[in-house]
Amino acid sequence: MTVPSGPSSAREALRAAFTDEWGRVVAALIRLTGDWALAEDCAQDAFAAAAKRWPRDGVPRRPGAWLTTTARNRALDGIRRSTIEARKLREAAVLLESEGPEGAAGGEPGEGDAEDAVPDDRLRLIFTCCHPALPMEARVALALRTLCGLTVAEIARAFGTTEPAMAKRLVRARGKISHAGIPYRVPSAELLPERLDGVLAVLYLLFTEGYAATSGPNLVRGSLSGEAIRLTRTLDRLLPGQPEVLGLLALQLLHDARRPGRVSADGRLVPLEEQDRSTWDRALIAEGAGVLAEALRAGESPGPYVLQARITAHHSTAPTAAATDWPAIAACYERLAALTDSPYVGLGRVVAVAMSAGPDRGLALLGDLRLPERLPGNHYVPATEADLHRRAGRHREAAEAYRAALALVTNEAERDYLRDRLAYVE
Amino acid sequence: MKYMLLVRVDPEARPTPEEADPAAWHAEGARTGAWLEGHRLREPADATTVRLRDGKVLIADGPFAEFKEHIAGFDIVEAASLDAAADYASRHPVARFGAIEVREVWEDFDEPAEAPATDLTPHTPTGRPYLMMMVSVPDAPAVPPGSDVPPTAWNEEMERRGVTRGAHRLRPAGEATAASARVRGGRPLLTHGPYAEVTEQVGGYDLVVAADLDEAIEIAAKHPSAWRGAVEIRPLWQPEPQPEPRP
Repeated sequence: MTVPSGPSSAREALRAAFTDEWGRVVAALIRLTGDWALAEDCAQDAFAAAAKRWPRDGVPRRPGAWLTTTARNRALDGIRRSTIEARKLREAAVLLESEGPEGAAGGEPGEGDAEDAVPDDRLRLIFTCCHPALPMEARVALALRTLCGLTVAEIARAFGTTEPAMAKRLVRARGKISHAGIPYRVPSAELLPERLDGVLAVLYLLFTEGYAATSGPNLVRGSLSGEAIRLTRTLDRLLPGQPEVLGLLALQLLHDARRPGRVSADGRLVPLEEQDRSTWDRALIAEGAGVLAEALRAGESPGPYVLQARITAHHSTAPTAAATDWPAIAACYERLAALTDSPYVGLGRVVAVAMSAGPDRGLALLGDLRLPERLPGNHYVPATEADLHRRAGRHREAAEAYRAALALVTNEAERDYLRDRLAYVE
Repeated sequence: MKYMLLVRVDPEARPTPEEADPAAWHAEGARTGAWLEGHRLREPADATTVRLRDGKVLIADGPFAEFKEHIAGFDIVEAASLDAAADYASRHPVARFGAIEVREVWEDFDEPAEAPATDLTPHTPTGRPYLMMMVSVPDAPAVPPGSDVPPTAWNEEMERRGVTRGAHRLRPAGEATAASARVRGGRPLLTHGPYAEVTEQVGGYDLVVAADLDEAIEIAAKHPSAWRGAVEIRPLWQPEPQPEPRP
């Protein structure tokens, strides 16, 4: 039974299936074969088969089940042909038989209840991709390749490296999973909190990489942020009710809502206080606030992502910059500082204190927290000092600090912003 | 006396498989009784280093310290002296394009000489062998502050669980207990003393069989070296065919 459709709606369905099903198909195939590269190849083949067949035969009623079955049959053919030990083949055959009659037959993907029979393996895949024994950049790359279906070339472009270098990084990461025996499973309850922190760190990094590129002219790389949000949503669906997962999702949504106002028409970075708040995405802000409320209802004392989401919510819901509840934000930062020793949290706290208690209080805190010593070479420290001197009306000190920040900044849009500020105080 | 030989490979050297093949060297050692056992390791990119700090397990990708010549395998040999062990080591094929680090085994710590050869057969079909290199800072305290765990607790627990498959402690690396053997331009070059002047030194090893890396990490984190320094987990090269990663 298929949905009646022409070629254009088949293309539409294929695009949607890729977004929704790629990670599921790869995750199921990894469990089946234990071979990451084979799993990706078979998923690729299944989508290629869909591109050929769906416009002709119609879109299957359950595209995900069709794709998984097709990829599974492909893997089984591959395993039969290759010289991989017979034990693996037996295991694969047993799994196929236990998961539905249409798989082992090797014929046309069935329309039965395959979707219910195919368990969602993405949670295992998320935890394995984000295993702490893998280097951070490999975790991010693996997540984008296996869970989001980005091509090696796309991932390489997003991280400013070459395709062969990124391919090598992925090969090495898959090699380590196989050679070092990184398990393909959701960690035990005992390990879960610690490993979940590691997963959230990857999703956070992915989002911030997409939000503010560390270098180059392309300040907002929306696709990476979008993938991070999608993965966080998936994680929340698969592991519901975790306050920190909800906190991270809220944080991402509330930040993403402000994206339209963050860069001006001519590509310049617009500081928060000068952004046109009518450009912000109200629906996303409402959704983010709802997710945050759900995280807070969990009742635990808020973790770092929930606190950051609260800070972002204060900004995103303030009708004007002047109406921002800075004392509440400063209080959130103080709680956050008690949980993490991050100098970046310290920097946010300095700004919040300056905005609620005056620039000189902020500058004093900046010195107390030894931020210049702890973040040497980072332009945010002199840029913050410069802004606080400017607010206090000390233009000479401000100019000096803006020049120090300009010597360190690498992001083009931020450089332009600092130049504008320097011109203003000079 | 027993010595541990750490086979260090220069990743930029490109020997042919024949040039690097230690089979003849093993055969010589087996004939003379010098060679006791040896294992090949997976590459350093497959290493994981575990530390315990402030009660938290810290997991890092890669070896505990990066040197140009990385450890690709190790052998345990019997020799009359450090120089005799180094002499045998200098005939190892890797001595020509890498280095063989020689360390004296601390025999007081060891099991009796008639201990059976290391059996790495896993107890479960899914078990995997790992080398755990115990790395210590020399002046680290013997007992973690505030701990009442006896120093033998790790050995007893691992014995009970059946995960350990042989271990040696090493004497602190000094002029009389450690050397590095190389052959350059056909001539043996012998350097006495530690391989590198670093604070963290390999103080011994344990071979373990664990279900997967998570169990290996759990075992490593319980060892005193995890807080005295670090534990580097290296998967052993397994002879069974494994699907190789493809690009």
